[in-house]
Amino acid sequence: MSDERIHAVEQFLYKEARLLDDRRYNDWLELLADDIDYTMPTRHNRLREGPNEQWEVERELDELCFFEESKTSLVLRVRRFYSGMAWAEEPPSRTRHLVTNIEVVSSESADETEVFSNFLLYRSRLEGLEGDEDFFVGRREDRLRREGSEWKLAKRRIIIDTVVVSAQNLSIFF
Amino acid sequence: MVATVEPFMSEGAAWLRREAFLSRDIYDQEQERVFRRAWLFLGHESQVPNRRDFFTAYMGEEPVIVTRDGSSTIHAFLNTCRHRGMRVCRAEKGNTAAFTCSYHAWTYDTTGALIGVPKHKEGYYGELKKEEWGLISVKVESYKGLLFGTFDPEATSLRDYLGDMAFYLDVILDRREGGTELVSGVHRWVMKANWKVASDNNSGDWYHVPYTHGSMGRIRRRLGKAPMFQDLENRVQISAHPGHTLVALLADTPEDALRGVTLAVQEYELSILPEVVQRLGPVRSRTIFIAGNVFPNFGWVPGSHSIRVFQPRGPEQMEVWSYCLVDKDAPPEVKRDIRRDYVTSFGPSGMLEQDDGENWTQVSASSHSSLARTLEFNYQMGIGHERFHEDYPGTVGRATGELTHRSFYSRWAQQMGITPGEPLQNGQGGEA
Repeated sequence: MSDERIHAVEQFLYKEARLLDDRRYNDWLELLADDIDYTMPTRHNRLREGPNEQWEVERELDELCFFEESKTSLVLRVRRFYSGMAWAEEPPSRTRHLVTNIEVVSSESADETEVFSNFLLYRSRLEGLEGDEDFFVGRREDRLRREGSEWKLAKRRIIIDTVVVSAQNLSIFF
Repeated sequence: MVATVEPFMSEGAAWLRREAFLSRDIYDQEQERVFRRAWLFLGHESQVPNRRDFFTAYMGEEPVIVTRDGSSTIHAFLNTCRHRGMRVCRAEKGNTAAFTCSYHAWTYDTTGALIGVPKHKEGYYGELKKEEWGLISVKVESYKGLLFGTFDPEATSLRDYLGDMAFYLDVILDRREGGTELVSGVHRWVMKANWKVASDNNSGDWYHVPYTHGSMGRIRRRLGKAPMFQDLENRVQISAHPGHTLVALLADTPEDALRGVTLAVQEYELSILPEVVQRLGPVRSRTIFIAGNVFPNFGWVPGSHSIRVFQPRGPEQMEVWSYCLVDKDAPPEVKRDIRRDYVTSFGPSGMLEQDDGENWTQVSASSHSSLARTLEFNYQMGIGHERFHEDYPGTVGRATGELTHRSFYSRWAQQMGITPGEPLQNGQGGEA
């Protein structure tokens, strides 16, 4: 794993976060591969199966997802923002994506990279008073693919660290 | 100082004071008079397929455990230890022979019976009567796979409680021999609004659809697709006695009632049509059940394959539990397409449901101040224009109307012991 590769991946994630927070959604869509698989599973509390259990998040995830998106559905979500009637984001929320713990995982292909990152996503709506502020915390498991000279996001799985979403909706991107 | 929620309904007018959505007193009375007496949705039989499977749920604010015992009978009980009140089960689902309280280790089996008490001999001198200290039991009945529970031992049967609504629920629950199942997982999220704001909307509020959800209408128009939301003569609200409601499209033929979000789903629907017509008969096989409510807080959005519960969490807060319901025997790709369509439209990220959240929380936020809370909500649309329909049980009105809301609040008032037109006493807050 070259430093150059790690740097490129980090810069990709930071730029992506900036585009979302600057509401440049059409530019954000340009970063997504046409076959992107974008999911956020629901999760649940369960008991450990015994002292030797190897923890894995898969056991806490359910089939039903908060997001289960293709490029087409993500494009639709962005178009909706510009319909003039997407009241959940009209006026738009202020968001800030903090992306940390970036771990570039080596991959066998020269043109693909797996990367893990943690996020804290802050949203302030309307006056931003109590009840109009949300914090979302979790981890992302991404796959980036090189297409020509560009990196594209080919897969994102969002593992949110909560069972009940303490927000009125999930009208933003992670 | 007595605030009231009257007058409730009179000739040509219907309104309800906002206090009904804000007052702690009224909320507390609802817990006792509505939620302690009603049949409440617990979950689906598909959540406990095997013996000793369990899941946890809520009946209003009360935490409950639902189990399938060793002889396959389904039970529900309050999730609180009889000794010192600790929650005896803190997982949301699983399989177990017993629930052992983590505080003093009182142990209950999957029928709720107390089967283990540490130091029963030395500490209690054998005098504790274990048979009297089982978990508080909930009466459970199933309606075609859907599990309901009630705390009221005197409650009428679930079938009687559903009344006219069973006829309409069958459109979803009884269309195939194999019945239905839930996609595993629950969408749970919190909204800062009274539970009735959501149930009122889910009762059959077609009026909000073209504007609140106008973003999707506009996108469809730009894509050259057929409009979703136009006023159709055969789209109606139905009040299904007693107090349950829906909005439905009464198509001319079963073929006209066919829907499908993808080609795979359309083909599936076409392939099962003979079975559906045979099971549901000519009237119901051409009925599209769009949305509705089983009193008090069990919402239906079959148009997007969702069922949901608006759990009360204080006067100005609710927790939504929303599930995706599919035909058990549908092929995997059909279930997948339906699930994806549901997530696109409903649940917290749904492009339709997102905007409901914005409305409901702002309804609450702009009503709780001193003056605003003395105002009313208006429910008069279409009053006096309801009719009967020879094919459909209940009362029918135009989809763009508030028949379903009036039906919901009439039942609510009846449960609360309010005679429409008479004041509901509320000792705290508000103006005389």
